[in-house]
This record gives sequence, structure tokens and C-alpha cells, in this order.
Amino acid sequence: MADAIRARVEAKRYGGKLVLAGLEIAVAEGEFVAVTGPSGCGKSTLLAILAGLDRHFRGEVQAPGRLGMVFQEPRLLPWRSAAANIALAAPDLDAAAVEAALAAVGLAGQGALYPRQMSLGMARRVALARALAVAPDILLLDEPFVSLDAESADLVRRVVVADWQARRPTVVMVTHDLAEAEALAQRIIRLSSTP
Amino acid sequence: MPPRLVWQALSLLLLAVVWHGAALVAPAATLPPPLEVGRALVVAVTQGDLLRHLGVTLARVGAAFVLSLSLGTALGVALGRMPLLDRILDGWVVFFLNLPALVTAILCFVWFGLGEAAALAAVAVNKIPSVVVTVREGARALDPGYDAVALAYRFGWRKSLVHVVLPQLAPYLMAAARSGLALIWKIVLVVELLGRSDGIGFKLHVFFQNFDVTGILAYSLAFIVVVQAIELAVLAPLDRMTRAWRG
Ligand SMILES: Nc1ncnc2c1ncn2[C@@H]1O[C@H](COP(=O)(O)OP(=O)(O)O)[C@@H](O)[C@H]1O
Ligand SMILES: [Mg+2]
Repeated sequence: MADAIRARVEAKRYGGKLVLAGLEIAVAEGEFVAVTGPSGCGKSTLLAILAGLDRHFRGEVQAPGRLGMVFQEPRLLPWRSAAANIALAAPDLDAAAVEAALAAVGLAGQGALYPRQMSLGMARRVALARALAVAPDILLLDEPFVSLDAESADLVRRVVVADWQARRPTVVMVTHDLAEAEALAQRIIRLSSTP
Repeated sequence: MPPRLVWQALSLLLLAVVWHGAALVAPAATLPPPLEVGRALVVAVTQGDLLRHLGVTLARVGAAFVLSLSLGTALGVALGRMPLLDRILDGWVVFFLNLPALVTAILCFVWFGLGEAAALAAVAVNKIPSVVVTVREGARALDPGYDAVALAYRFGWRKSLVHVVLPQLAPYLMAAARSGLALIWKIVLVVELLGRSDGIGFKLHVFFQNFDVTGILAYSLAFIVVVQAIELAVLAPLDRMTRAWRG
């Protein structure tokens, strides 16, 4: 099967500090890969590189197609409602489809809420709904279950798995929870800290 | 009526009382009492040409406002986002920030003649630097995290501007607009006094030559009322609107 993502990171530095080095990653179309590693080892940095958001590194990356991204923080635009945040990312959706996207993450009827009116768990679910609303070819998830209560975490897990099974996007999920990675992913990429 | 408005009304009433008291002891020609100024104002509006001059001045204020805000915002965003450009031009900003309005007005009239364009340029040169400083602050504070969202979800520049950049700049733009209105109309009067033959500033000049304090106060009063009305009816609600999401 063809690779959906190919990346070669020779070196990624912040200032003088080397964060990623000698990394080569290929993810097949429709594959579900987990990336684990200790905190600060460069997992979020890697996702930003894969997403094409960070171009300040030595190496190259190919990840064509529509992108859905759940950042480590929800990163909803605070001045837009939940529904508007989704509609901005997925302009093709009509109001009913946006509402359906919210309902899918357990937030039916909550579209008018602004990010400040939501709990962190709700905001993260809106962020997931936003990512899935674009029907992404590539879905990048940065610690999607962290700081969620058990119930929300379970819901997010089911929504992600359901989307993957239904549409077969290529998924790269960052997590530091090895059990989580083993339960969901077909393959685990372990990053180690770069000294 | 909200208590704040009651207090404001009382405060203005007190000002009128003090003014009246001062007018009683001052020589008649130097300080007319408020009622007389009020009567003069009514006459100037109904029979005189106050409204025409007011309109002319407001048009200049409006044009200078739009010119200063748009150029200042573009420049401020550029400097806020491009550190090298900022370092190169920072000295210029400081220079123009400290240039007295009177100097720019005189120089503009000397260089470009006593025309409308020179008048507008003089006002804009005075106001732009402070807009630049305010907006530059806002541009520096732009959160790159939201840029990443815009990039990941392919907003494009227009959508990014409207939904990502401007909402973050809004408080800074509002601050620039409000202080802009307050500053610009005062500079416009100076410019009119120096080099125009209509507008409130020109009229004040004429009153000054005739030692007509009543006229000066009546015209000033009219203009203060109008500028405050714009602030209350346009800028303040706009400010509230752009802040609504903060709750
Ligand atoms: N914008 C940045 N500027 C400087 N250093 C950064 C920046 N972002 C991340 N880092 C550093 O790079 C390293 C990797 O960060 P990150 O990719 O967030 O790690 P992880 O997601 O694995 O916890 C950390 O040491 C972090 O401090
Ligand atoms: Mg991280």
C-alpha cells in the first residue's frame, strides 16, 4: 500500500537545542500509528512537522491531502462559538452538519457556547469534532485523552476509532500512555529523548 | 438612569455652576456665563453658519481618521511581525511620535501649499505614529498557535485576517480609534486655524481676532458635544461588540 506520510527529519532545533534527529517515518494509507515517548522528547514538534506547520527543520516531509489536527491544547478560536469554530475549518458543512459533528462528540445543542464557557473536556471534544468535520485524509492527534475524565476519554476514543473504521484516514496519534497506544494503534513508534 | 450617568450629569452641572460663578466675578468680555454661551450657540446653529463649519471639520476629522487608522494599522502590523523592519524603522516612529503637531502643520502647508491635501497629511503624520505603536503592540502579541490552526485548516489569508488576526487586534484597534478621535479633532482645529478658510478652527481664529469669547466657547461646546456623541454612539458600542466573546 502507498505511503500517506513520509518524513525524514535530519535535525530539528529550537535555538541551539536539538530536539529531533535522524528520524525517518513512513505511514501507510489508512494506517493507525501511535507515537510515544517521554515528555519533552519532541512528539508535538514531530506532529507540527508532519502537518507542515513547522518548516524550520533540516529534512523533508510529504503528507498530501486534507488534514485534521487535534493540538495538544484545544486551540479553539476563543472569539468564535463552538459551531463557528467547526464551520470555519469545514466551510462546506451546513448548519445541520455542524450540529451533527457536535452531536457525534456528545455536544448536541451546545454549538452556541464560546470556548470560555466550556470545560477543558468539552473544548477538546469540539477540537476533535473540528478535526473530523473536514473528513481528513490525515488525522493527527496530540495526546487526545490527556486531562479528560474517564467518560469523556472513552467517548473520544470511540469517536476516533469509529471514524477510522468508517473512513480509513491515516492516523498518527501522539500519546505517552503505552497501554492506550497498544490498545488503539496498529503500530507504535517510540521516540527517545535526544540528549 | 444608571448611577454613572447621574453622576456625570451632576458633575457637568457643577462645572456649569463654577463657570457661572467665575463669570460673575470676571470682566464681562473675558468670560460670559454659560447661559449666554448657550444662547449664542442656539443662534449660531439656527441663524449662523456653525453647522456648515462643523460639517467641514467633521469631514476632515473623518478623512484624517480613516487615513491614519488604515495606514497606521498596516504599518503597525508590518513592524510587529517583522523584527528587522521594526529595528530599522523604530527610530522613525520615535521621531514622528515626538514631533509637535504645530510643526507638521506648518511644514505641510509650507511644502504642499495651503490645500486640503496638506491639511490631511499634517493630521495623519501626527496621528499615524501613535496608531503604529499601539497596533505594533497588538501584532507582537498575536498568538502563533492560532496561526497554526489557520494553516492546518487552510484558512487562506483573507479568512485568517478576518477570523484570526483582526479579532486579536481588535482591542488595540479600538484603543487606537478612541484615542485617535480624541487627538485628531484637536489637531484638525490647529491645522484649520493655520491654513484653511473654513471649519471650526478657522472660525475660532476669527473669534480670536475679534476677541469674541462667547463665540469661541459656543463653537467649542458644539464640537465637544458632537465628538462625545460619536464616541458614545459609535466607538463605545463597537468596543463592547468586539469584546462580547470575553464575557
Ligand atoms: N516553540 C518552542 N521554542 C523553544 N523550545 C521549544 C518550543 N517548542 C518545544 N520546545 C522544546 O522542544 C522540546 C520538545 O517539545 P515537544 O515537541 O512539545 O515535546 P513533547 O510533545 O514530546 O512533550 C522540549 O524540550 C520543549 O521544551
Ligand atoms: Mg507534546
